[in-house]
Amino acid sequence: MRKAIGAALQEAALDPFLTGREHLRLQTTMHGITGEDRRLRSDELLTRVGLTEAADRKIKGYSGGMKRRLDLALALVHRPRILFLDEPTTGLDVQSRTALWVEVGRLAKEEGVTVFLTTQYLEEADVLADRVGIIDHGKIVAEGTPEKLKSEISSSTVEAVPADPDQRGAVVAVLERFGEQTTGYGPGSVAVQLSSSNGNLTEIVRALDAEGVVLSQLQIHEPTLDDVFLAKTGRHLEGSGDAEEQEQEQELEAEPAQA
Amino acid sequence: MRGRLDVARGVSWRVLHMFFTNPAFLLPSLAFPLFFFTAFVGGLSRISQVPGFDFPTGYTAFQFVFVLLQSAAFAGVFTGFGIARDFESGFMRRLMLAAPNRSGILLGYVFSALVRWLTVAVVVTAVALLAQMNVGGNGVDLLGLYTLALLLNLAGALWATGVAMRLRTQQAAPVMQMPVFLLLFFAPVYVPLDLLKGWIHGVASVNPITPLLEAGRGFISGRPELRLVAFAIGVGLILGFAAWAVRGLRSAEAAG
Repeated sequence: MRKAIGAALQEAALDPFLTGREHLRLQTTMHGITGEDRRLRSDELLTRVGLTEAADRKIKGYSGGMKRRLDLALALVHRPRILFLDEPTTGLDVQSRTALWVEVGRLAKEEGVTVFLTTQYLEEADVLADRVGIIDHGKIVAEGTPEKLKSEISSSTVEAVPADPDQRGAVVAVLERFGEQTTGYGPGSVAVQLSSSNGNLTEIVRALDAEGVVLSQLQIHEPTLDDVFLAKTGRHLEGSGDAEEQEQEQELEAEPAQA
Repeated sequence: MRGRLDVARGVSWRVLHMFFTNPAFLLPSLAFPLFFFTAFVGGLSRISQVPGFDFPTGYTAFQFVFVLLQSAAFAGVFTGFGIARDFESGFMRRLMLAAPNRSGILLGYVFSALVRWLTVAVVVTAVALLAQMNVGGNGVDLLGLYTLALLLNLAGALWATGVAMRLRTQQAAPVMQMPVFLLLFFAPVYVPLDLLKGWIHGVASVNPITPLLEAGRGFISGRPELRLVAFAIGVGLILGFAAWAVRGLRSAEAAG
């Protein structure tokens, strides 16, 4: 059973005295891959995660992103059919995060690996996952494809920012004709989650114009997993005051693909 | 079985790679036995002139056996330090997750302890021979001596592994080290058992290390004694501490 599973931990616990290639040597040996097969598999994985040039450097000289990519390579040594990734992109810069997304997506789509991925980043789950489970205080509160989850909660949200703050009341009055007011947007803005029958932006603009309201900004937001999270838990996952506490209690479990 | 051996090979490769490429790991293992050997042989050699001290191959050979057994036991204990360090750094969690067979992890650490000790034993033996140590025993006797030390090395490694697996912190080092230290030094280290008096004689008489030490000295002097008792104690220690280490592994698995 354990041979079918690969796992990359939240903390990429690597040995600072070993190089990247030596870590792969350890991992391949433990899985009975030796000799020429070991060299080929190590080279293949190092190339895939973009660590060929750094392969012979000690881990203590690696950046956080390099460690995560090596961790992923180590988890793939024995060609697992199921891969568990525990917050693989936490703390990574945009470039490293994108590189990891590409590799995880490729694993799922091209190699048929079933990936279970936990993440604090809703965007990550949206990009990578075929199925998403939202866990709140240890319980799954929503589960399904990102599209299904988004369609379950609402249609689009309209966000308007009045040019004159005194006109905020008028904007609220107009927008509430089209849906229910919602929170979590900019401090000076008014946001309304549109009811499905009243999703016409043109009508909203006409109504605002009829009231003589001048806007500095008007946007329509398609539903995101952030909206789903907000609807299911009553809170935003990112950017809230007690984010650290929430990190311990809430996360998304995303399954990028099923074999 | 194949999976267990693969894991053991990987784990021991890593430990030995670090041991041989990093002076911080290699030097203390060599320094302690060489220090004891130099201090005891150089500073205490006149003890051999005490009335009743009857050891035909001289004080250097008398002390060499103790230093050899001490180096064997401590090479095993140092392995436990490494395991505790791996728990603290999180690397043990990686090994536990990656290993298709976790008992191979134990096997790998214990095998690496054996190789570490053999390296130290070669150096200590070379130094002793350079110090003109007399050897009275034949090849079979010497094989017996090194086999006894090997048994003690494995027992020490399994003891320390069991402690490290349970406590999972480097702060457990004294717990691994102190009992071994006490057992070794409450044996007849400087003079034969017969010359010890008072409470230390009583303690040394029941100390399980004493028969190993006496048998080892018998081997090097060519007058073997207590062989069966010593080997039985060595094997018994290994069996007992193997069970201790395996249960420690299960404890570490249960702790996640």
